Amino acid sequence: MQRYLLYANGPDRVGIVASVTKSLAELQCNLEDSRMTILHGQFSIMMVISVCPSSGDGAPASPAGDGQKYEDTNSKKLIENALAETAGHFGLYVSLVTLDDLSSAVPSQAVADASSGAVEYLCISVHGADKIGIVSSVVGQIADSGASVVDLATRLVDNAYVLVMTIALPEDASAADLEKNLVRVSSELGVSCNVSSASPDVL
Amino acid sequence: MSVKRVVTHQEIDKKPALDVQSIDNFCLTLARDLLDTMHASPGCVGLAAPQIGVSVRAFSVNVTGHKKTKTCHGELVLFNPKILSGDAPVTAREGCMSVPELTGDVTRFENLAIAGIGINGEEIKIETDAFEARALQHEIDHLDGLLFLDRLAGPGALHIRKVYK
Repeated sequence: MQRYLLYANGPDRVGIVASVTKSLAELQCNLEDSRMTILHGQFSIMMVISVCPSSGDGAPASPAGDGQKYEDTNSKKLIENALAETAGHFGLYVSLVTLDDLSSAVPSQAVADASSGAVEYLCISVHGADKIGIVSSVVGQIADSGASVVDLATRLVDNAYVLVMTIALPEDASAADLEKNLVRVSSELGVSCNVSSASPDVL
Repeated sequence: MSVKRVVTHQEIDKKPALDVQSIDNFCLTLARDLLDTMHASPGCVGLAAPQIGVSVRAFSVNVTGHKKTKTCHGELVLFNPKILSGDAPVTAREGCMSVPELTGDVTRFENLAIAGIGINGEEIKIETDAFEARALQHEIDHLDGLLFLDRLAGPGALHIRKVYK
C-alpha cells in the first residue's frame, strides 16, 4: 500500500471537497485521516490517502479497472494529473507528498511517549486583546516544559484573539509548574489563560 | 426601562463577582436592568451582571420556547447562585453576547440543581435539565470570571459564528 499526504488550499467555493474526493475515488484511492478548515475565506485541507494494491505484488489497481498494473511513481502522477483539473477549476494549490518519505523523520519525544500512554494531555485556552507575540510567548513556556503541541487553533475577530491548543506533557514534567508559568506569561500579555485536563479516561 | 450595553469579553471583569448581602434597591434596579437588556437583545436567553459591567453575583435567564428546552422555569433572576449538584455531562455548542463572533463546544451537566436568592429575598432551589441547565451553568461561570472560551473541549471546539445566506 502506498500512502500520500495531499494538501490543497484556495478560495472557498461550493464543491471543492466533492470534486477532490470524486477524483480520488475514481483512482481507487482510500481517504484515511483528514482535516479541513476555512480561514478568512481560504479553504484548506490536508488528507492522508492510500492506494490499495490489486494483487500481492504491491502494484495499485489501474483506475480504468482493466487489470493493468502500474508502479507507485505512476500512481502519484496519475493522482496529480487527476487533481490538476479540479485545481484549475477551483483555483487550488495542490501538493502531493509520498508519506513514506515523511515517516522517516524522528518523532518528538512527547509524541513517542504519547503512544505508550506516558503523557498527560492538557487543553490550554488563551484569550484577550490581540497583540504581537501571544502564541510565541505561550508556546515558548510549553516548549520549555518539554511538552509538545499536538493541536492548535487561533481566531482573531474584532481585535479579540483566541488561542486554543492541546498539548502532550511528558511524565517527568509538572503540569502545576507549567500552569503557573502560563498564567504569569498571560498576565504579562494582558490576556486570560485557562488550563484543563484533556487526558482521556479509559473505561 | 434601562437597557445597558453588553460588554465584550475583553472588557468583562475576570475576577469572581461579589455576593449581595441583602435584596435592596440596588439589587432590584440591577434585576430590572438585566431583564430589560435581555429582552432588548434578540435571541438572548441569559445575562449575567458582569456582562453589563456590574461585578455582582446575579443573573437573569429565560429559555422559554427554545427548541432545546425541556424543563423550564420561565423568567428567572437569581442572586448568589450556587450549584448544588450536577450529573450527566453533555457537550454542545454555545455562544455568548460578550463573545459575539465566536461559538464553542462546551461540556456541561445535563441535570442540574442550584440554589439562590430571588428578587423578593426568598431562597429558591431549582432542579432542571437540558438547555436551561446549560444556560444556568453558563451564567454562573460569568460570576466566577469564566467565559465559554475557558471551557472549550479543544482546538476543534472553537468556531466562527457564521450566518449562512
